[in-house]
Amino acid sequence: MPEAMTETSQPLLSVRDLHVEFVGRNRTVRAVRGLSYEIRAGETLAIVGESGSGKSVSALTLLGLLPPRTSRVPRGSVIFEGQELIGLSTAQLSRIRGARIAMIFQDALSSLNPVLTIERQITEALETHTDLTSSQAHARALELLQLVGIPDAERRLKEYPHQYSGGMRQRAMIAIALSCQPSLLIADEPTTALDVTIQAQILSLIARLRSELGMAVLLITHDLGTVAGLADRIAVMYAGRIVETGPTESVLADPAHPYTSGLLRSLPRLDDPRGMTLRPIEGTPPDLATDLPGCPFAPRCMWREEVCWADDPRLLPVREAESGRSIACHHHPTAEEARAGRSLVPGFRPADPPAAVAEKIAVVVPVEAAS
Amino acid sequence: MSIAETTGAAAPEMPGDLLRIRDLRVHFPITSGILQRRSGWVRAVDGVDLSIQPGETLGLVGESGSGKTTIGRAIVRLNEPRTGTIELDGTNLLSLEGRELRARRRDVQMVFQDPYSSLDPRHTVGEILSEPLSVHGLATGSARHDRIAELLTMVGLDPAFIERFPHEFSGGQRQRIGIARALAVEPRLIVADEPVSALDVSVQAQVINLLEHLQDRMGLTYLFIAHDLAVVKHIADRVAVLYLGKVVEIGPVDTLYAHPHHPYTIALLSAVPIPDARLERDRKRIILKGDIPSPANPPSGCRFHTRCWLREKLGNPERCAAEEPALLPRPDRPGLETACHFPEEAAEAARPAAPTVVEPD
Ligand SMILES: Nc1ncnc2c1ncn2[C@@H]1O[C@H](COP(=O)(O)OP(=O)(O)OP(=O)(O)O)[C@@H](O)[C@H]1O
Ligand SMILES: Nc1ncnc2c1ncn2[C@@H]1O[C@H](COP(=O)(O)OP(=O)(O)O)[C@@H](O)[C@H]1O
Ligand code: SF4
Ligand code: SF4
Ligand SMILES: [Mg+2]
Ligand SMILES: [Mg+2]
Repeated sequence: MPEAMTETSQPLLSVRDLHVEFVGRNRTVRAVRGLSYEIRAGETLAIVGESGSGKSVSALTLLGLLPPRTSRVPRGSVIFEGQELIGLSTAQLSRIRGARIAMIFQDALSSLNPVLTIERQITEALETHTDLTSSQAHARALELLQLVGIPDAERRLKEYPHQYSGGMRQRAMIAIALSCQPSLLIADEPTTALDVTIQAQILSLIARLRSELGMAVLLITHDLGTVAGLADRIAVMYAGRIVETGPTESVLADPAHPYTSGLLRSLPRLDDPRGMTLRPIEGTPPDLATDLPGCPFAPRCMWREEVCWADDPRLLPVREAESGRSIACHHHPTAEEARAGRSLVPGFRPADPPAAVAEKIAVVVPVEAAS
Repeated sequence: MSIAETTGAAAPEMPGDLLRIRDLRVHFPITSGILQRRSGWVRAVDGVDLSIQPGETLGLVGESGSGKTTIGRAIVRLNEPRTGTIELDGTNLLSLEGRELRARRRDVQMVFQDPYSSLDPRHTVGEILSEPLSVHGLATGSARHDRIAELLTMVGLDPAFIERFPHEFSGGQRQRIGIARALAVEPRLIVADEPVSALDVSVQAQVINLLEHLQDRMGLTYLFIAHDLAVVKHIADRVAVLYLGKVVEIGPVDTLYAHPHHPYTIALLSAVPIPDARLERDRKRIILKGDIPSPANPPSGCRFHTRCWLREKLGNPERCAAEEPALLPRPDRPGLETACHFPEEAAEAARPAAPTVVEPD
């Protein structure tokens, strides 16, 4: 819905400096550490990141679905359709959840109720959030199942989740999510468990429904490929916050943050010439229970400077002012450096960690420097 | 002296195949009722021929349930085929028993998809790597510790990790341990069943590079099972595409990816997303209808006919549902073999210049 994007000044959803922690017996995991983003009505934003980067936790926070005893939100704000969600009661949140914001998950089987028919699961959502009569609800359920492309819908309504294939379950979950015409659909790895042919079916379904219904979509995925065809904008997450954001096409073509360019260099692509060497990001993501004083990517970064060990970079505009691009980085690579995977400044060496850091965590050193 | 040479089975100039699978069928019984009567068979692998040359990587791709793992497990004798032969250097593994089988087992090792469940959590890394050495009586006594340290170094792990338990490692590190365990007995063939599917992109690339490096260094041969066609393109020399327990197309990786002649291969390739927004906008995508049918009751004739976009485009010719297409060489594409009655029409429709084909949904 391009009109909506230009005329509204208020974003549909605005997340500001969100922090989420899990408190354990002897350690606290800081899963989300200052997350900020916006989604406009009708827009599709993809949050991309490797496992453990905090994608799912941040989505569950919006819906108040975190375990109440072990989690807390020490800071941050989530404004949806003009209303602050952080601090709402469970009852207030459940009125928004399902009606205005709906969510679909990777694992359809465990999020569907095994003992209820698909029809019952759709009409239950309708009865909670609308005042349709039961025959209207039945008609609507049938219409929804047809909308998501399940053949022979009248018969299929009477079936249980275990009688559906993986792809059909995903479709059924989407039908339930759409039942109350939400303005925002959160899709957390909606195709990760599916075969490519079924993935293609579901992605094209989401794209079609999005434009037919004018919904905004928050697509959460680790797959840069699925993002390319579906998202207007992309936000790359690392260690609980966004390190790079901008229009999908330009971020994928010309990544500015060392982590984003590293991810793209790691990825085997169907259009790669054969025999091309992959250049992985060495090392592993940080343990979110330890204190990270500087840039969380520093231990794996080949551009790091002294300052990176001490100062956590903020998300700031990069490239041309009007490009809509931002990154959180003190010393980002040029386009040539991003392609090469290392600094091209003669004599440049990634800064060594201070002794206190070196004791605690493994730091990746460049091969040339190591030998 | 390989056994293949002495039996004279291989063509004169061709190096002998290391692995040769002929007419492999693995069927699982379906039982029902309290008496557990057999009511049918799941035809998981239903007449597969494959061969791999020494030092080669054969990629095996296909949707979930197409029989990839079942083929891999048959090669390492984790399940019993109903018919067929699996020859390693000319010796049929399926006819071996007892001591002979044990000795031969060493030559073929498997790496599993799930680095979490494939390592016993109660054993240290040292114990895990020691086990295959003990079974085959290798590196005994004081040599054992050195060999384990060497194996860890080989897969890029610190030998100091020897006393640690699997839960102390990340997914990528656990997969490296799984690879070290397979390498321990110096196998000739490694069956790698989705070895990088559970890993994050950056770690996946580390493990792919490791597998390639080890192959170069040790002359290993891989059967690389995966569902990610971009990963397979990267690592494989040849690729076999499986559908419902049968190979529908096989060929050198460049030929198969650039000139697929089977409608299923074409659809699979078109469904793989590429991280480039401009490319994605212009690509034509063939979206298959429905799901893969049950291997307990595969469709008649060509097994793909219930989902085939080409058959629909050609006006549903009788032949597709009536006659099973044989896997035949494409004369103009050396090494490529396709099991379709209309391979030229398929390749023509897939050419980028051709008009966009069916897109249901
Ligand atoms: N032990 C078994 N008993 C009965 N059926 C089985 C058994 N093992 C596999 N099957 C069936 O055989 C078929 C092929 O399974 P297989 O595991 O080989 O598929 P795959 O291609 O490896 O799939 P995936 O991509 O999901 O790993 C499936 O229909 C499966 O359900
Ligand atoms: N219920 C929970 N209790 C404790 N830690 C959790 C819980 N859920 C997630 N985490 C931790 O929070 C971090 C982010 O997790 P998650 O959002 O699920 O990652 P992603 O979805 O990006 O893979 C991880 O370190 C994870 O282990
Ligand atoms: S250059 Fe510095 S701030 Fe930028 S990603 Fe590397 S370590 Fe972080
Ligand atoms: S034989 Fe017919 S149904 Fe089978 S793949 Fe070829 S065109 Fe399709
Ligand atoms: Mg997640
Ligand atoms: Mg499998």
